[in-house]
Amino acid sequence: MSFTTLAQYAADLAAKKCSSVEIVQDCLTKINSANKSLNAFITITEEQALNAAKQADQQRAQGNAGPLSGIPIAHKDIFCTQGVKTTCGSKMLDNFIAPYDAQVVSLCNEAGLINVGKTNMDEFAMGSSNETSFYGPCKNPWNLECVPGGSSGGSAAVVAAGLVPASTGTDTGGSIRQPAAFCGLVGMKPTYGRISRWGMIAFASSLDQAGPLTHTAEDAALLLEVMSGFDNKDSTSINQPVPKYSQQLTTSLQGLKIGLPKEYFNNQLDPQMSVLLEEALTVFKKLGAQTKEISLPNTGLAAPAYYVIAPAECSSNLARFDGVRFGHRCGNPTSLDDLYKRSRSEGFGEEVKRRIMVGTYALSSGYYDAYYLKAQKIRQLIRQDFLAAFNEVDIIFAPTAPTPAFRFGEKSQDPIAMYLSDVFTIPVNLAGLPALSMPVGFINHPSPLRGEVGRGVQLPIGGQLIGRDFSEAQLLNAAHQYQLQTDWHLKTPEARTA
Amino acid sequence: MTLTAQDVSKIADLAKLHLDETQLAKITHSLSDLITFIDQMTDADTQGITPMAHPLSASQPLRKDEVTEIDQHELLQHLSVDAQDDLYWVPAAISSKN
Repeated sequence: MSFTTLAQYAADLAAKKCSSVEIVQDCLTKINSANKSLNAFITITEEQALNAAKQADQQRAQGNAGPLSGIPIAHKDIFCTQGVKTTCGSKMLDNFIAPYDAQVVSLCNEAGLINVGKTNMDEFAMGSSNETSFYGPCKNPWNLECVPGGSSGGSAAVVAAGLVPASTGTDTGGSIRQPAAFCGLVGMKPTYGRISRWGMIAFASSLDQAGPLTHTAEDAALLLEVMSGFDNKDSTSINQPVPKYSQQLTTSLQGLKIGLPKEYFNNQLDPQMSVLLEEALTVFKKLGAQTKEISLPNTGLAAPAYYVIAPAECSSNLARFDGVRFGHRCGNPTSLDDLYKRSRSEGFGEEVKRRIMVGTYALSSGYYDAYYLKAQKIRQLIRQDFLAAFNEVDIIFAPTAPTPAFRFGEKSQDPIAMYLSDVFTIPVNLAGLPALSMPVGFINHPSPLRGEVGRGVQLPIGGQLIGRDFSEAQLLNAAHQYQLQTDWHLKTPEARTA
Repeated sequence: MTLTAQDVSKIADLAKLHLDETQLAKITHSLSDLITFIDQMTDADTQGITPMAHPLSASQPLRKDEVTEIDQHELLQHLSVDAQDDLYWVPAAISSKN
């Protein structure tokens, strides 16, 4: 299995080494073969993609093509795509053909990127393993018995398997970074407000943020440039110029101060992972960076606060799914109440119902102050922890997840164990900060996989870089400098998807 | 904190969800575990802390009260399972039986 990066495709197209039609056709051939075992795509937009590729080739011949024009990409099925089924991984939206494009999709289209399909995901982005998808779980290309992470598991799997060079995802509590870590990719959650949420189906509006999944930091920079920017259709969009991230990847790391939060490097971290994270720090030190232990004392409160705030906002956002204007509608409703209740109960899966109910409880009369307001105060404490740390250091380095990819079924019956797989990513969303995960090595799975005892199954591990508000360029540059010294991002899974 | 099946039934009703007996028993157990989990917040000292609604403390931008969207009701109503004559059809909300 091999892959081509966005940057390489752009260079090849510019040098006329290949056409967009050839690239897209090649990707579609790989997708149609691999998707049977990976289940990474919910919808494949073959005809539209080939038509768009022909158009891109014509534009390039006329000298009207941008650098990324004609390169295939996949969108998480949370982004509305005009005229294409947009399900959010849910039975509730199995019949939903989006009437408009999300702003992220529009911007990618304007850049000439070609959408080859919509990727599998946890239902309404609520999950860390892809196991809550109505369409069945997507599998991890590194080991088909393991989860690809979630909720953007499909977006991670299609890039890791070399089916497309890049994909879009969303991150509410780690849903880009954790799958990127599990699949050996770069995945970035930008600063809250950097990318428009218009047309991105809402889970928890004060936390949701879109971002890219790619093999390299350079590709992440290229795609982030396209996806970012102010949008007056999203009231939380921030009106700040978008830097040319891909042209800011040459800064030396000499003197860069990297903070190591002691609450993240604790004894719960897999010892094999600790070794790899130490090795990554050695690389940064060789590049001139300095490290310093820091403290983020309220880290332990992040997950409990998150599981009040996110469900509360989800219970409000998902109230719109009532069986009336769009989405699943139950048969033969006997009353308005029956229409609402049966449509929602039939359309939503177990995890979504659980979160809606937690959120309803937290917002109900008599509990608001004890739960929602308390969680919002803790959120403030967590952001203040980060701001204080950034008085001492420039960026923070931490593990992305406490373990490598786990097996299907390992955590699906224990919601709290599943929630804790995002324990290192959640605080960043609460604080609204940018962060990325990048591959820092491989370890043996902590427990043997079926049929593979003693064979030393290798799974990728992610290291997380966290920065100040709007420091995406700094994080991408640090990751790029690291990748110039290492080759973890060049490793590919065995060809086990045929 | 332990929730009873009665508590969970009430929450389900507020959330407009129907749960059968089996589902109710299962979700009562997992919701109780979750509430216990989030109750870890209780002891945190948040005296004098301002609740955070937006990470960047941004204020809600306002726009002029002008029509900016075109009428697309035919396109949008096409997405409904039961829309006719420019109306969404639902069972009667008020009837003689009520």
